[in-house]
Amino acid sequence: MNCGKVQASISDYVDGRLPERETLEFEKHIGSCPICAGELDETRRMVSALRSLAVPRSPVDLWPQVRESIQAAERPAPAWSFLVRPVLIAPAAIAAAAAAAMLILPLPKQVPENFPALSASEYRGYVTEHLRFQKRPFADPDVVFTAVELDRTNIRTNGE
Amino acid sequence: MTEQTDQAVVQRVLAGDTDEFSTLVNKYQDRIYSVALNYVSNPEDAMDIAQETFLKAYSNLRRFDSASAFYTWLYRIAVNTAIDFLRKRKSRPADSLDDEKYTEVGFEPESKDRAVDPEDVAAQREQARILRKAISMLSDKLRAVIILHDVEGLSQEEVADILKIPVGTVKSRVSRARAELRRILRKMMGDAV
Repeated sequence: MNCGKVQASISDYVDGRLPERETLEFEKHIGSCPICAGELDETRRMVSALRSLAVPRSPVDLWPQVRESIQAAERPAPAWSFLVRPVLIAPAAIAAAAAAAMLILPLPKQVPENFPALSASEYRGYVTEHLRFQKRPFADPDVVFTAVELDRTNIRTNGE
Repeated sequence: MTEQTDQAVVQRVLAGDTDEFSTLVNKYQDRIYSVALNYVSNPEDAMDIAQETFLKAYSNLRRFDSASAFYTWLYRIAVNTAIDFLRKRKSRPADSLDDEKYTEVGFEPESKDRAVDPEDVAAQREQARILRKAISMLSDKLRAVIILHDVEGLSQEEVADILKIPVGTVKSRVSRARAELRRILRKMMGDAV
């Protein structure tokens, strides 16, 4: 038996599952090979340590909790329970549909129809002033409106 | 209690005597809790898994194949429940492995036996923590055989029955799992297992 075969057989040897003939060869090799002997010793110590992880007993008696859950699951639903479903589900469905509609439908444009046509320099000045106001404490940052303004400024600047 | 009486208890529960199920819970709760704890390393989670295991067993009792042992069926439910739990928990950080507030047996108070050396207890606890952390780094397949075979001490035949795989596959997985675990432990402890 060479080192490779011996090391592949360590697990079976530790479990006492190596056939008798192979066991003799295995032990002969281990007796003359300190590396394989070390591997065997390491595996034995690890397996012994693993066995110590088994927990001797559960910290609590599980039956009372299990019984409670079983009883709760088996308890028949009250006669009026069929009324609860439509009452609970209908508003939930309406709310879900409304939320979906808000996601799908386009938001109305924030730019007023009669928005004055200004030059690019005027716009830049306006936006600068707007941003300055936004940095003030308690100012109401009209983010959507500012974004549209910036967009229009770019269009006009590019168009110049 | 023999396996035959487990079957008899199952029959009585199926006949409508729910409280008879307590016989099976009381008999196997320690082993199921142990498996769960070695999967999740957290006593609270382990108790939840153990409880859920018994609930699933009760709910599916009619599906239990009386040709096999009740406890191997129960172990299978426990392993699957623990794996499901870990998959759901993957989004959460695995904080429990380093949680020092628990003793190794869960919520048990620390031993008051004065003959026990506190340093030994601390060393054992640290060893258990490292081992559980290393086990948690194994794949699902290798972790299952290590916990059932090497930790719980079940035979390869029993593990094969629990995991529904051939004994030869269990044997090769045990060998691979040990080799992998040694590699992980060497890495964790700087080549000093």
